Amino acid sequence: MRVPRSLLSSVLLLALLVGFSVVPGLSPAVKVYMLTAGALCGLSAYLPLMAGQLSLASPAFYLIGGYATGMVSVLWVKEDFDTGYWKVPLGFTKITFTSELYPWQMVVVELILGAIVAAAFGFIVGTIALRLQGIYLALVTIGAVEILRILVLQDQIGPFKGPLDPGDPDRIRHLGPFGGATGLPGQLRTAGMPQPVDFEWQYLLIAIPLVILCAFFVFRLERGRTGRALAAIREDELAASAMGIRPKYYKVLAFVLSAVFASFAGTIYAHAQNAWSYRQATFVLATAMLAGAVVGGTRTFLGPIIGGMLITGLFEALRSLAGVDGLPGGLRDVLLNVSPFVQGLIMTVVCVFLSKGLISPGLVDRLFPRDTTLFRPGATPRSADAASEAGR
Amino acid sequence: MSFIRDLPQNFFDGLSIGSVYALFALGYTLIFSILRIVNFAHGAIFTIGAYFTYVLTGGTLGGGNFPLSNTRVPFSLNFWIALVLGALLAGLVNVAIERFAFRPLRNRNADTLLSLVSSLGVSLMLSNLIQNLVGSDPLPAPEPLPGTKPSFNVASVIVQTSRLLTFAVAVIVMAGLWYLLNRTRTGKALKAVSEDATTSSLLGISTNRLILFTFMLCGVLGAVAGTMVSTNFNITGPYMGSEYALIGLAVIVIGGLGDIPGAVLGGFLLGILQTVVSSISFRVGFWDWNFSGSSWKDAVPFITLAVVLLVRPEGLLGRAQIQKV
Repeated sequence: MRVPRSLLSSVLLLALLVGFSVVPGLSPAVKVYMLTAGALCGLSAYLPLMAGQLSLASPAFYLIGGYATGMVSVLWVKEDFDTGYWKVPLGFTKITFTSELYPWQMVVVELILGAIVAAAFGFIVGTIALRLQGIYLALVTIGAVEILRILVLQDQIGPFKGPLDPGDPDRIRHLGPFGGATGLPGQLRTAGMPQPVDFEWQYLLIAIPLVILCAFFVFRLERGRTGRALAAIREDELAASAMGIRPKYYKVLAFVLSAVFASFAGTIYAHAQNAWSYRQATFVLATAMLAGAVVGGTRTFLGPIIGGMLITGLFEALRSLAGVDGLPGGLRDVLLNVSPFVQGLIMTVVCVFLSKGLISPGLVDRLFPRDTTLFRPGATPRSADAASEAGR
Repeated sequence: MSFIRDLPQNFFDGLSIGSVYALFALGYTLIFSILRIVNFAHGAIFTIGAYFTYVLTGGTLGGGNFPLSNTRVPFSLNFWIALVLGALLAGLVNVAIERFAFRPLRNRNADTLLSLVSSLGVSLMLSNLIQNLVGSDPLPAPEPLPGTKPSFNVASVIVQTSRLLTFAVAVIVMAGLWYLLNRTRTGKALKAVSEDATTSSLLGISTNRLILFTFMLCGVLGAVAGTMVSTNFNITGPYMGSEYALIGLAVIVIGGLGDIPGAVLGGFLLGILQTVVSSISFRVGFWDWNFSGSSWKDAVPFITLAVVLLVRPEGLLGRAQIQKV
């Protein structure tokens, strides 16, 4: 039995959009926002897969992105309670943002800082793991997530103690460098994470351009030299290295880029989520990210984006369906708890019956046609034309 | 000085938990040695084994609105019979996993990556199925030997009976496995398949039957490990296996993927290392820092993993990976 994949994927997409718009209990902005985070997570799982590497480390980078948000917005940037303005202490001087909203410029700073830390961490993990091949990488990446989770839980690491616990009357107990088990902002700020927007829908002004930018980046990457090198490594690493491609360089590059996308997802999700703790990075999340990429198809960038949206959307749909009034208690419990089962079922079924995923590379080629004029036999390359005209 | 004083105690506790790690990791490593894939559903089998034994000994399931809440089977078996039956049932579940999640992919000669993802999917489904059938209440441990003292002293070491039994059961099962692998025709066939599946099937070994047998065996190993852990720490819920699933992965990489003595060595090593590290505590006056090892205990397997990979990438007892063209 062969199902036309383009038909199946468009039906599923349509079902997702319609289903999502009628699901009660969530504002439309929040829904779209969650979908953008899902798309970034899917891209993050996809990049190592481009080189044929299975990485389950994305939750670690996602965690880093969220903690970057927490540490910048709660521990570094301070709110002036008299004026409501936001102050950024910079050693000898300070910058004051004359707005009562958390400044969006600082969100950009969070994105960049999170990306830098995540990239550094990704570089370390990738370099250790790439001494080995294939399955080892997956196992080591799981370990990386666990180590990071335990690291952020600590009460004190060396001289770093973190902020004072506001609940302690003696003012001697510290929360830990990353806020400890309650995370950030925890008890530090009763209102939760500082909000850069007035209304929920305005999150989209940050999230959607970011996703489009990332998608465009991966699209260009895929069409260019790097993408072809990664595909060559995926198909046959030995042959690729014989052609002068450096597998280690490209694999670590894919790893680092994956880390950056996951940290973006963490940063934008942390603000909307209002709190961040070690619980955000779980093994189930790693599988969900991977499921997004596999369901969407791992041969082109559009697949993981759509797949990531599908998986995130499905979870939120199930969760909010449980909030509908008049459901029997048993059914509500099942709806609240059943999403891992559905996700597992989708993963297994897609692997067994639909191993290429929903989106085929052919579809992307039709949507975004390749510029073939350069390669037409007999035609002069355009750049050469331009050069000769300029010379004339 | 308490570190030195507690060393014998920690060594004993580490042996006990390490024996469980080893037993559990053997299930991963046997399947890997034959199919070159990691069965991520092994953690769920661990949980299922513990639940099966609990139900067969006549325990009542947890409360809530779930289909099987507050129910129990109309009979109650002796713990040891329940352990064997429960392990066999879990083995059958593992066989079903092989049949539906691995074999279709193997027949198509699909990428190993897909089989990893599909077994991850099965693992999520199984643990979530337990949660939706019986809820996530913790359940009390079945008692292996009713009427015995819970602990006794040997010199300065407090020996908990359940830990001693865990160690004994694990060692007996591992001895049985050693006998099976080294002294029987099935064991020889398994070794042949793990060396070269195509050649051994040409020589008349029924590969598919052998793979089913291996999955059965691994299911039994995982379920025995799960049940013995539950006699020590109770059944903590449908996700009790997930922690062991991750530690088991660390064990097999540390020992050398697909290497059977390596998995045993890795298991004991991690068990002892973990209990010893969790007893370390010291004070760094300069930083005003009370370091306590117990908060780093869960990171020990993975830090060890990273160190081993840096020093000896093929694992402690593993053979170096040979790149085939």
